Amino acid sequence: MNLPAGINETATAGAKEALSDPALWDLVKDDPVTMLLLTGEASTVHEAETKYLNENVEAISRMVVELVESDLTDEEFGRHPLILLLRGHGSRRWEDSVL
Amino acid sequence: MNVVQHLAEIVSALAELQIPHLVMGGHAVRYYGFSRETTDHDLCIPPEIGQNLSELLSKTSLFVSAPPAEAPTWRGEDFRRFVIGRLPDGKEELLEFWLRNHLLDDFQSLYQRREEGVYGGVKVSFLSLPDLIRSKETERENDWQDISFLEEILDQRNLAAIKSGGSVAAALSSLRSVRGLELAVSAGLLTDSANAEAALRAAGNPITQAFLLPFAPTLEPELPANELFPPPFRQHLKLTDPLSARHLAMVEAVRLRYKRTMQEIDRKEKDEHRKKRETKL
Repeated sequence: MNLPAGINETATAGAKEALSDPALWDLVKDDPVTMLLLTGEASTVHEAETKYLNENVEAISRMVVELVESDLTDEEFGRHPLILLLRGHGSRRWEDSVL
Repeated sequence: MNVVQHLAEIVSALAELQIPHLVMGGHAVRYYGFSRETTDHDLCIPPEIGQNLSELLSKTSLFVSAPPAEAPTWRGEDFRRFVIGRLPDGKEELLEFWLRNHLLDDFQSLYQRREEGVYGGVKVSFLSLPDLIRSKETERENDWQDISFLEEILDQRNLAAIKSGGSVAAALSSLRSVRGLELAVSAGLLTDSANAEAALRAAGNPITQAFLLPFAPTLEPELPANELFPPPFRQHLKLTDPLSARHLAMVEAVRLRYKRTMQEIDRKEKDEHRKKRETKL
């Protein structure tokens, strides 16, 4: 089993065992944030998201450019999980603003 | 006495001894409008005052019953801290002084840019809001949460200043928040491309440049090279609709690159400081 980029080898034994279940692996293999939680490298969703973003800046930059160049409508683009994640950790819009 | 009243007492004691100082950290964050808990007291003072700090503090009303108890720090001559009490949870209440902060200009420059306001019932000198934001560009995630609020407050202040005669380009050239951009657009400030162009020319931060580029696309070739705002982002942003999902996503990608780089710079400086200290030991 190959762990995605951003997941190091300090994963707990229990999490590794859980990931050895093919059904679970299929569910999480493309979800690095969940992977960080299952491997014990993050203890909360926020921590996992922050860790993923901080440790994969160049890869995320490339993925954003690819998505920008894609055929997605602007609405579809805005609903993409990576874009939602990036914007969720970025500057707030009016509905969450302190102003 | 609550923590705000205690800060007021500290500031009054320093003023009595005519010790120039600037309040930074959590108290400054609260002063500027983001109400969050703070337990310690962070101040910036001229480095020459740091030489006699213990002696000076012992002359203040803060330490009438016992001399100042200095707590160890790993930054040695740049940063000193004193225990001034116990918090309700049993932790030490700390009075901390930056003599030199690697993220900030020298004290005189900071002092010239200071903001004075009433806090805890007394007049207090604070680090200016842009300097406070700069002081928080550290490796710590909590500081970046403060920044996200302070950026909105800075944008709102700059935009409000336009009504009292402030320059539109100056306000736009330091935009850092989506909310600030939305306010600027709704006020019609970016309808005139001359405003956007003047602001983009003056903007030094790559986040601001990414906000403004779709409003002034012809200026793209003039932007200086910057690895935080690489060519693929520029090429797309000059063709992207302002405020579209693509525009705002690319701004956040640039923000992520900026944040990560600032964190690396801070971490590297701290590592060098630790190494120097270990060599001395």
